[in-house]
Amino acid sequence: MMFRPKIVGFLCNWSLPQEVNTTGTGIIQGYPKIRIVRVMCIGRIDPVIVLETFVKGADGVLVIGCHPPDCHYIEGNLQAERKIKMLKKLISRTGLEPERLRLDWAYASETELFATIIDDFRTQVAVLGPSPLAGKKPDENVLAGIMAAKAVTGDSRLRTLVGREKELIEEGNVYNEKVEQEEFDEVMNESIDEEYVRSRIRLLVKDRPMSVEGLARHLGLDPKKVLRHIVVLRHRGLVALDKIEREDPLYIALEVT
Amino acid sequence: MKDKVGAVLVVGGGIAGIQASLDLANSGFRVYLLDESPSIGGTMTQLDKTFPTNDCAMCILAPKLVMAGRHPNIELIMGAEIKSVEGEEGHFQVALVRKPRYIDEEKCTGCGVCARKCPIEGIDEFNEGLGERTAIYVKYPQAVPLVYAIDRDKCIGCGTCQEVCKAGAVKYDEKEKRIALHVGSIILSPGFEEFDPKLKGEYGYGRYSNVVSSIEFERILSASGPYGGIVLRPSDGKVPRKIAFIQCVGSRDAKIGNNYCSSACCMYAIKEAIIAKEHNPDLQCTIFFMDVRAYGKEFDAYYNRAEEEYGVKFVRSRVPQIGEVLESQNLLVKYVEDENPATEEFNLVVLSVGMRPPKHAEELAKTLDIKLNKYNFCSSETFSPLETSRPGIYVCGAFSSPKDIPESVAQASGAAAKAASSISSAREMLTTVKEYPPERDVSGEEPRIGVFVCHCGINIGGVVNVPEVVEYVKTLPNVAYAEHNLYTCSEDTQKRIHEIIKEHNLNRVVVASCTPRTHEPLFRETVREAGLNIYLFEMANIRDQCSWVHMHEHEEATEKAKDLVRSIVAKTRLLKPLKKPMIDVTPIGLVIGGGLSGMTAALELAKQDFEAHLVEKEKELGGHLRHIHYLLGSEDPQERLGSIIKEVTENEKIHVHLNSELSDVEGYVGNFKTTLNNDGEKKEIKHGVVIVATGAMEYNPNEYLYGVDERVVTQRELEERLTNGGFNAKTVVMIQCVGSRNGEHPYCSRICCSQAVKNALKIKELSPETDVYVLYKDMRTYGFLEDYYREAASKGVLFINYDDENRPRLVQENGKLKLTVWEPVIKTWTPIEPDLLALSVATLPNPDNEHIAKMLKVPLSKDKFFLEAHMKLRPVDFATEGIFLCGLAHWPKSIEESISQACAAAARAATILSKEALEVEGAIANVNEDFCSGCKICESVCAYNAIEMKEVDGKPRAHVLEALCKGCGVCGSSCPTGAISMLNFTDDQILAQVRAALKEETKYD
Amino acid sequence: MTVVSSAFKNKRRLPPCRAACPAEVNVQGYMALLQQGKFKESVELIRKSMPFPAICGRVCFSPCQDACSRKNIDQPVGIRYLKRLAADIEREQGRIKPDAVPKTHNEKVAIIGAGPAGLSTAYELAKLGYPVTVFERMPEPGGMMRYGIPDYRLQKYVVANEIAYIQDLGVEIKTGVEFGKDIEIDTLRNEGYKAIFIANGTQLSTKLGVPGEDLEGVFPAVEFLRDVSLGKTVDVGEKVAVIGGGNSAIDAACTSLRFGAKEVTVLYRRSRNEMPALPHEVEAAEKEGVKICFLVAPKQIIGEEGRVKLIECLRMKLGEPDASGRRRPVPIQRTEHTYGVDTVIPAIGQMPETSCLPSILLDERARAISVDQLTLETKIPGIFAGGDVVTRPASVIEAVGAGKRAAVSIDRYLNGANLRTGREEEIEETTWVKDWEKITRKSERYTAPHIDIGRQKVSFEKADELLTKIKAVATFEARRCLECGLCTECLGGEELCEADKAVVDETLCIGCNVCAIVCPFEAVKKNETGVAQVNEDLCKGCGTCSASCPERAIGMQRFTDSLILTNVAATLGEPT
Repeated sequence: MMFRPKIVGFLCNWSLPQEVNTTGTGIIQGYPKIRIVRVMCIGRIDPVIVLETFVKGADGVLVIGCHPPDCHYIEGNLQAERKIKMLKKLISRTGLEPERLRLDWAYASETELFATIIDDFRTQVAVLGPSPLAGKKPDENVLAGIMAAKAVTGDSRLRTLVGREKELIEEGNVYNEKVEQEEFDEVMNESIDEEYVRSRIRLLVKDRPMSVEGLARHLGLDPKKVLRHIVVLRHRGLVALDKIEREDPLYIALEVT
Repeated sequence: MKDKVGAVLVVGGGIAGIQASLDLANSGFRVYLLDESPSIGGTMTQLDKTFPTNDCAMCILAPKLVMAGRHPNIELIMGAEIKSVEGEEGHFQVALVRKPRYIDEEKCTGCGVCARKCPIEGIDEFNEGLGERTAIYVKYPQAVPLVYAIDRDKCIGCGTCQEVCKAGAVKYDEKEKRIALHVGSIILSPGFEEFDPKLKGEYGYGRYSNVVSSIEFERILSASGPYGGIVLRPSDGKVPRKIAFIQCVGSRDAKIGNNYCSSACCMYAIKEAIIAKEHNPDLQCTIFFMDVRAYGKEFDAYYNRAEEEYGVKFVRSRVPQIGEVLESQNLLVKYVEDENPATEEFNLVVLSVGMRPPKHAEELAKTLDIKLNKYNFCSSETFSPLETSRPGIYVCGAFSSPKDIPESVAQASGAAAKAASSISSAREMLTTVKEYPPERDVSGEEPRIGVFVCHCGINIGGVVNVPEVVEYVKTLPNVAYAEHNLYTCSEDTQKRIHEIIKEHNLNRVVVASCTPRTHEPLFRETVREAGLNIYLFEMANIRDQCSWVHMHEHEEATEKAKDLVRSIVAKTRLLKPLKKPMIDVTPIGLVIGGGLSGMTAALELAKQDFEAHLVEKEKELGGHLRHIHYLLGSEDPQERLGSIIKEVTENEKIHVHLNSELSDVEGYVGNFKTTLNNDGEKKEIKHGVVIVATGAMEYNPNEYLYGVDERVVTQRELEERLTNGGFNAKTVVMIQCVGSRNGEHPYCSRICCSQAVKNALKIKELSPETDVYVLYKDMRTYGFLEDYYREAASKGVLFINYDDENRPRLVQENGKLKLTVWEPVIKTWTPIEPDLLALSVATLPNPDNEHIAKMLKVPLSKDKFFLEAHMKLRPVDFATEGIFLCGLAHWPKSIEESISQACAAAARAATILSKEALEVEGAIANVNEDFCSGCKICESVCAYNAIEMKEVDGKPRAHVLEALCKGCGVCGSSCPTGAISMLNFTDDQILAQVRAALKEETKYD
Repeated sequence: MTVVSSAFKNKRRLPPCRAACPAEVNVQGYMALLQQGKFKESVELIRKSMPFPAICGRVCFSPCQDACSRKNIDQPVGIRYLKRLAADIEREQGRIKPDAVPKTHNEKVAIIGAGPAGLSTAYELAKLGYPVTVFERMPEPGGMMRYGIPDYRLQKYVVANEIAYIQDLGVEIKTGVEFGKDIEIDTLRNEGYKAIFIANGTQLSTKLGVPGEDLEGVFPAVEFLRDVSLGKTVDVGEKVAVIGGGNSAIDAACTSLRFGAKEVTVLYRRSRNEMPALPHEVEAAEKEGVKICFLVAPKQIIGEEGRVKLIECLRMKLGEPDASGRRRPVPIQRTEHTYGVDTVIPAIGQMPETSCLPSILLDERARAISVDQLTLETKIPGIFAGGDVVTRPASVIEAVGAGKRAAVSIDRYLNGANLRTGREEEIEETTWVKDWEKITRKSERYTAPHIDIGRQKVSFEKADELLTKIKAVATFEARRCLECGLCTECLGGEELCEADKAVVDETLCIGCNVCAIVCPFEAVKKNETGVAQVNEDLCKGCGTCSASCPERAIGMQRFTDSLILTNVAATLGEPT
């Protein structure tokens, strides 16, 4: 039997085609290929929610808002665009295919475009096959990656950067300089890398203490880098030394509420 | 001529700059302390422990930082550099440029929320790149000023810090600021730059992760460092089993042009090895060295302990190369031992990097119009080691030559004396004295306590439910008022506290916030301004001891905060106002010893307008210097001595007492009374301070046929011969460490190596054909003296190393001296027949020391030199206030060092002599004479000699010398009859605090 | 009793469009509905404010559009066009017949005059459950809407349709009943009417006051247009001169063309800028061939055999501004010149017919009814008046505004409440935009042809296709609305936008201000303690702040994270 991907579509209230019955959720008549979750504005799409949607087993997540520059909320769609951009970068580090996430634009009146977008995305996801997180036995590695990513997106550093990105690039920073998109992307990529690895480390040492070497092996990283992350995590009070076994100090995550 | 300006600019905020600033500010001058970085403290803040005492560097430095930061007459100018200096000694016009910090120093409370929320990371320079810091940062947690700064290179300008700063301290529009200063003197203390070990490519620094610099290793050792105090290697975070220390990286190295010795590396390497071993006793440490230059006070003992107690291995070999084992990232250290090339594998290699002149030395010199030496350190002369080539500008610390902390501190005080004496007429012209309202009499009043609970931004408020604590506090007995503040330490809250004290008629105040270590003086000031005695104030630390350590337990932390405040309130109820006794000061100094040090100290006091009595037991002034006829440099010591003696004897303020000795000393700081014995004639002198400059003496050897064969002489005698033309030897052998570094005198006499080099060069100058052999254990020609060592070697002087097992053997054979020397290179005993054998004999402590120490009640070290208050940071002070130390009485030292120290002693003395009266601590010991049994236990335990026994009704009773008591409480807790109580920490107060702290818990039991 | 000082004005915050509308039509609200393609709902929303969406969609001078903030960026939103479109679509798809409002009050109310003022009052009172009777002199209700505006601008069926809606609500309209003749105040009182609203309008034309005004061929515009509306044929000859610059003048001019005139000239004594007629109407008239002469005033009308032949005019220049703020025209001597004409239509104003009114109601000069400006109460308690009879000729929408105010007064009067309390208002215009420069997104107005689908001979399919297209265009145009007003402005309620609001958890907020940066409406701001606070008036519930908050300190009241995730789980078929 052909693979039928489960696609969750986050649609804004104002781009949702009239024909779609907005009450209730679930599979909607006329659009059987997508499971629609309505929000007022896709600006509402918290990256944590997208990642949680993957955790819950979605094969693909499609976010549709109004074509810029139109937006019922002026620029909620553009804010969402920056979040999705960050998310795709982050997801690409987890082992989950970033192609499983797409942002697209459509007006409520563009029923045909709407259908095209869904079909196209659906095909794309179908080619990728079932999500490694779907089904009864999710891929543990990918799941660990996504859980780490989720923790990162819930944390202030990337959220601060994404939240300020538009302003910094379009209006300028506190020194009245416009930040180049490339420069910002560099900072963002670095931050994503750092925070993702740190988050993975935290989750790995949540229940059992591990050594730098062990962590490095697990994460496929240079132990030197892992140690630097441990330094930061200890400084932040998120990880502590548990004990020293032979040459190896073992670290454990600290409980954080 | 214009009036001189009573202000001094100190350039460089390291330990030297801080010490100079404190001494000047405490003796009546206004100080501008400038530093390029955003905080003061310099390199010392990065160090873990200090040799030879293993004190925690930060712990001993922090009080000085705080003092400098809070001193009303020290203005910190951070992030600034000098653009120009016009004018001359007495009145310089200095133009500075201050880089924007982007933070309002007045408003920033140092709470650190900005850094926690900053999304941008950068390399943490303070941790030598081993960790990360954010773009808004404070250099280190105890930084002074505790004001954050924005790293403009990193910052992307997102604005988060400004938003989260509840104190409103961030100002992005800050611009570079030009500052014009008018000062009388300038002190340069810009410190040094670490040698960049990348320049020694053969050691692989920068390529091999596990090759680190010594300063990086300091951070690795430090509990506050990146690894939290566990020694780990950077490549993989494993605990190393074997560490190699490579000495002289960037020092004594002609290839890279740094010929000089960096003076401190041997000791810090030994220290690092010891501390690493203390962290992990299984660790094997090997130090690869050329000479172990443990020439300072107690250094050799430390070296010996490293070797014997800690098992640190010392290998005399210059390491040519280091390689890396690919798989393990271990390091292969190549070296030569017993002429055999060897390779050993280590887990970690520490490169003991040398000191370079500060980065902008040349620019600085150009701006200030001062001369540098060929290595770009500041140029100075033997007899004026603190003076630069431009009058009125002085130098101290590593900028004048590589040196360790105590040398820097001594120099700093010395430079302060110099800077002060040139403008002494302007003393107290620019300093401020604060006027306070009269103290309100609160006796007989029911306690009315006001409690101010601080949110500290979100530092406390983010964890502890502060309003809840306040509501709780209001229910406590005697609490008349309670409120919470965003920052209790902010300027406007001070005004508020002031008003509330008045409005609610409070007679006691509690602030529940951070640590009294940094903030108590501020709040005391506030209550004092409101008319309350400062001892009616208390602090509860609900940040460091509560919110910071219970970050994730909000409810429990809130309960604990209540407990902490309740217990402090309980104590506060019992607080009593205390007086700070004032003692008068006799502005006269007594200097014991008329050698170079004593004369210099007396002169410096006189130049600062204080009278001085100079006591010399000999019939003439001059001491040791009388026997020195030439120097390694070009100056003529006898000529200089002559002019110094002339200056001393002609100075009206100096009263020279020759042929005199002390027969009795009584009194205490500010008020000493000393009886002199001048050939049986007694003379009484009143003075405020004592400077001990009793010098030392030369060892009279009984080794190597000294006194038996006249061809065996001491270096001093050799010098006499070389000066007086009685020299005609063809073969001269010098033996080092005669009487030093042996069982009897285990310490290094410090000056003999350079003395030997000096005389060897003199021989080569007078008689180039003469063969000169120097038999040594380690050539300790530290600092720029290394140049002379190198010169001597290049002129054919042969330096042959010996060790204790293979000492040279001397016999008289057929009227000839026959010396057999173990030649380590060819590994044979080799005979030499010297015409002259010069012994470099030890410098021994003055035998009078014990007698004088007893009179002054000051301690001696186990080698019988005088023991200073603190080897690192108080090198010329005694623990007993008002008594100071300098010259050879402290330790063997060179002319420059003696002069620096003498000046330092004078500067320290001036901090007391410049005051009309001294205010002493009010929270001191108090004796109830009715209970005192006269057992003298208190007297014996007091470290400050602050207790003496007095006859009361014919019985001995303990008596506290208020001027000396530091209030530590040792006497009180030792008193068998409970006769001594500690004011402000009475048993009642402490017990009330304890009971209140435990109250809630017992309820649940 | 507490005396409420008038200083305490009732302050209301409205978007500029609504603030500018005398009837306070909720423009932002129906724009929001149109954005979603909810055409019927948008008409319903307009009806909450007034009963004439289709009429106003055609003839309103649309102060809302003039006030529209969008003018600061590009062009105002095409509000009138959208209103007309929505109303037309609704009507063409079958007239909505509302249920009659049950009569919950016994007090009968009489309304004199079935013009926009009278009908609006009747409409509002009927909605409140009062028995209302409207007395109209003319055979059909509608007043000036029926008899003053020509059919090409405002079709009779449109007027009829909207009046029918009012009647459906339960308003009784008696036509052919003349006030002062068939009925009087006393008779109405005797018949049990507890309150009377007089809105009989301005039926008399203002005289030109020049010689020759009584010649044959001089038709005052009011009468001319009325006759046309009544179906009478009027012979205007070939050359027509219309005197005046208002809408009536333009209407008369254009109507003349339709009656066969070859040369129609509008003579206006001021310049184009001062013309009170709607610019687009003027433009349309000129396109049709109407000539307009500015700065010209008649000096006399010259007849031949009792019939107009020539009109002699003087050139004018503009002097100092007069009481109306417009520059006063001043004749230039010796500039007399003449035009040959067959018909002269003076259209320089109208006056109420006051002869039928008790003199106690009139002002000093007996030229209008004197009322309390706030309550519209006359000197006789229980008798109110509004519309043109009070204000002199104005617009439909102003009349509607007066009608609404009268309805409030009458309701209060009948309930024995104070007529004034709380009615003195200060209206503050709101907009979230602080700096127009910053809004760089520009868009031209979207327009589609007017359409009366039912009247076009097209196939059903084609009509449907056309309708879809027009609806799409309208939706785009509605999106141009900047939504200056408070969120609640749209009254859309939960069925439209869930009325979501951001909520700040103050214990988590660190004051980083990211919320304020991402909020397009400046609805989230830090308060003086540095904690974010949501201004519920401004928050439109998009949730961008919540999704962006670095500390996750902002949540949404309705669309909580957990609700969204529950929905996600539900769509994925997981048990919740």
